[in-house]
Amino acid sequence: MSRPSGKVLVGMGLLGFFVLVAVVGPLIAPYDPSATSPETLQPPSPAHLLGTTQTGQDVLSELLVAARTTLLVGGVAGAVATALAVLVGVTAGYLGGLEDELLSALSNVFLVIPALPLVIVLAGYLRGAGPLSVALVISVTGWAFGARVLRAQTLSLRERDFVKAAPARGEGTARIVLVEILPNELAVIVSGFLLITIFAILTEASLAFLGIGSVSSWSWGSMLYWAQNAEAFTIGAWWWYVPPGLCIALVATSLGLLNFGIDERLNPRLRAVGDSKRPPRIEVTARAEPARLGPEVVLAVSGLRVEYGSDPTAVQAVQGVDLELRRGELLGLAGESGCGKTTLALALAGLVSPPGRVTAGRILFHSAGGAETAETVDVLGLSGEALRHFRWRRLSVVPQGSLSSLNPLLRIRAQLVDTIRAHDRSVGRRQLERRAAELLDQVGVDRRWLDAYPHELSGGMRQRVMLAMALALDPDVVVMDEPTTALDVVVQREILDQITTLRRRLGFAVLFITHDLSLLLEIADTILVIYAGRIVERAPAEEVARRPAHPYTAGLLHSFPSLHGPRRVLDGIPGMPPDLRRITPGCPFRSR
Amino acid sequence: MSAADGPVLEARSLVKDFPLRGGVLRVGPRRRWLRAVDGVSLALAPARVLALVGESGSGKSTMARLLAFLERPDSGQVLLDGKRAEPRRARAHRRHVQVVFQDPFASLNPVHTVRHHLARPLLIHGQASRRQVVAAAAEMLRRVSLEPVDQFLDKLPHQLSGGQRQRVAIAAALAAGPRVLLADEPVSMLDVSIRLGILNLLQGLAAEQRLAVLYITHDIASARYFADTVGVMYAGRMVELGPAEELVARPGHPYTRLLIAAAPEGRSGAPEPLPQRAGGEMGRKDKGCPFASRCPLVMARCREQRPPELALGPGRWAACWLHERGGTNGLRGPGDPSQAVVLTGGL
Repeated sequence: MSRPSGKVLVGMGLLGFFVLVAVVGPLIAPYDPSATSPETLQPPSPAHLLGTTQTGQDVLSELLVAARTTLLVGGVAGAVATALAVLVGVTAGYLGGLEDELLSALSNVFLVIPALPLVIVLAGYLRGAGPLSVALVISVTGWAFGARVLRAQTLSLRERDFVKAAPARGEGTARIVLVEILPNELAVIVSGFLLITIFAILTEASLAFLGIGSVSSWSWGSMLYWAQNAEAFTIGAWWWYVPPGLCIALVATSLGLLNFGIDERLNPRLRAVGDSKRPPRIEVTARAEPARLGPEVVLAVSGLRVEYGSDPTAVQAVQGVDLELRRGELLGLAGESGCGKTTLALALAGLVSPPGRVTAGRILFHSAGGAETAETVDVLGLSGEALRHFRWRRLSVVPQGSLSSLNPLLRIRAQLVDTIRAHDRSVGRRQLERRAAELLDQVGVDRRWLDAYPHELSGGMRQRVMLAMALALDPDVVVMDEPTTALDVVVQREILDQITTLRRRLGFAVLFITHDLSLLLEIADTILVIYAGRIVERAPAEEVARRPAHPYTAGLLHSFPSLHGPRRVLDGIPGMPPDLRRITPGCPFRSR
Repeated sequence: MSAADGPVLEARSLVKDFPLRGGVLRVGPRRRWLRAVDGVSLALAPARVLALVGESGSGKSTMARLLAFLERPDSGQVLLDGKRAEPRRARAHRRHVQVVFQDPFASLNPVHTVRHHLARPLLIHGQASRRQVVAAAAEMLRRVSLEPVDQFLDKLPHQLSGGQRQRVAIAAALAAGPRVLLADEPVSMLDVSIRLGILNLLQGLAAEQRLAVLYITHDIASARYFADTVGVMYAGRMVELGPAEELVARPGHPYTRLLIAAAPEGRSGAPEPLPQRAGGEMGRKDKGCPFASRCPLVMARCREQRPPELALGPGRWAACWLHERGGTNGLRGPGDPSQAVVLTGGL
């Protein structure tokens, strides 16, 4: 568990203060809040720290006593509405079918009705009723949104293997819901509770301010109601209306801050936003002279370092990588999960995003052409439009996981057309369409799929579409990050054949990243082996197959069974890659 | 399969249809159905590993789900110890038949510790009393070589590597005390370098505890490495079955040859490209051979008549018309030069 952030601490402090006030407020109030006195409309003074009202009541005492009502209404409404939301949402999501249809219809109806008017109508029947009734009325109108969210969560959890496996293990339904599903929704439930509580506090204040509900009992809302009745706003009795208004705002703020803390916990990227604001400090080591690059080198990386997180606990994902990619070459990068392969790919495309950042090194791109027209681009120095221009025109990426990389709502045609147009506005509609069809032809997908949605395509076809998109602008370099990992062997082989053919025809260079060294041996010209963020071996493919120089490479080579030769016991590599948070001197592979 | 060991779990002519969604509104005069499994039989024996090999959509995972009663078969029978098992009594069945899922990142509940994952099946299936449950859970971890045990019991799934998670999933499956383990692509989500560790573990468990193991995979090389018998599935049907070594050395069905040709071999230099797909994607047809539209050796009758299981030797058969009249037509391996001619000549 990480230390709570400053926002959360402020939120907890504020909320704790108000809860304390709610508990002890009535005991420490200097006066009876309802007691009138002749000292009317006094500004703050030592006798009345927050002044008095039109009837001479002490504002501080009112404020202290009212805290209890307001927080009680908020808390009770939050709890009841959350309970309703959990009950309806989880039941609908888990049972599915007719139950789901009915319960969803119910929550939709409540969502469509505007909340405040409904509360006003309901509270109209409860005129003069106590704060608890008001809380119940508010919770009846506030649960539906939470129920929708929880239903969606439950639906997706229900499809996860660990929930599907529970009945296979022999668990009963109640236990599956309470022990396997609910704890996974805790963050959403708590966050929903906080939101409904804010909603309830604000609604209670609005109701009281409008004179609906229980204006006879003290709440911050009813204080505002009386202040407004006495025209405190026009006569400038600020001490009467500012404190309750401020208290409402502060309590809502504290709950909001806590909610923000939950978001941060769920999405670590938010936590790092603060860090990323300061400019990345890239120490450019040994300024590589562009002239040093031979014309055959299209991409040269030197001393590249990428870190995730802030300094003391930073994960050093890439620790000083040098590589050279020649024009038209297929360079294979092999290594296990957690060795920095994907981070390296992202860095090459300038796609490292917070909490990650490039801390050192240089990436030079050398475009084709004669000595005069050739230009050398410092990739890490690019930003904005120039970076966009570089990416996809010069260097494109085929990411891991084609399903999550394609927009599920757009047809294949639109996605191809958008890709081209995002980088070249001058192309006409007719030409774009033609180009999109050509691209599909190129990767061996029938044109009739242009009008299909991604989910209608098989995994292999989607991966081909990703390849088509990467080739849309005729880049010099294509970085492929595990392009065939999720596919079965036959489709994998077909796609590899396709890549080989296209590369021969179009002449782009490929950086092919995979954990499967056996693939690379067949398709790559040169192989780099990466371990713990460092390149441990670089050799031509035949060389690696014949005489692996690093024991790690040898381990990878002995990790896959063969179809030929005697069946023998193979071991793979024991253990796992090291924790990249701790940099140890010496060889990182020695422990294995 | 030796005669002394009768099968623990048997499938006889299992059939499973899934409804296809018709359009956005799910309305229409007739629902269309996809036959995911089309009359598949197999038998699992103690201490033996049977591999089911095939590509995505071939029905191999559905077979595992049918055998564990995670899905109800539409017809056919599942036999446990020679007696017909009823889907109604799924819980009793699962005491003997456990599943290891493909994705160790999804099969463990992220909010629960390793201890919870192991204790629940131990308690549910009466393998340990409440007092002994921690000791029993520790023993399960030892069996899957996650040691030192104390370090692992209280870890949450996200604190473990993929291979360690899959070991926990296997331990949880073993905790029920099953005699059959159905492993659905247990290593395909893991790094190549740790796959063998898991397969070796499963192999050891099969031998030591006389577990019957069904290993489902698309990687025929790992099937050869790990299994005693290999069954090849295509479009819901079993198209070839035989002892692992022999089947890989001399594949009888053209689809098996395709799988072998597609497997990366870890040799440098590009292999022969695969023959182009003639008919594109996998099709389900009522008549003829399902592979006919992709087969480089297709004959006229392949499109008309469904090939029967033609014996190729003891415990070996292929559902392919090439083997009618006991011919040795298809028994040459893919390495055979004349075979390469046949394969490419079929284009």
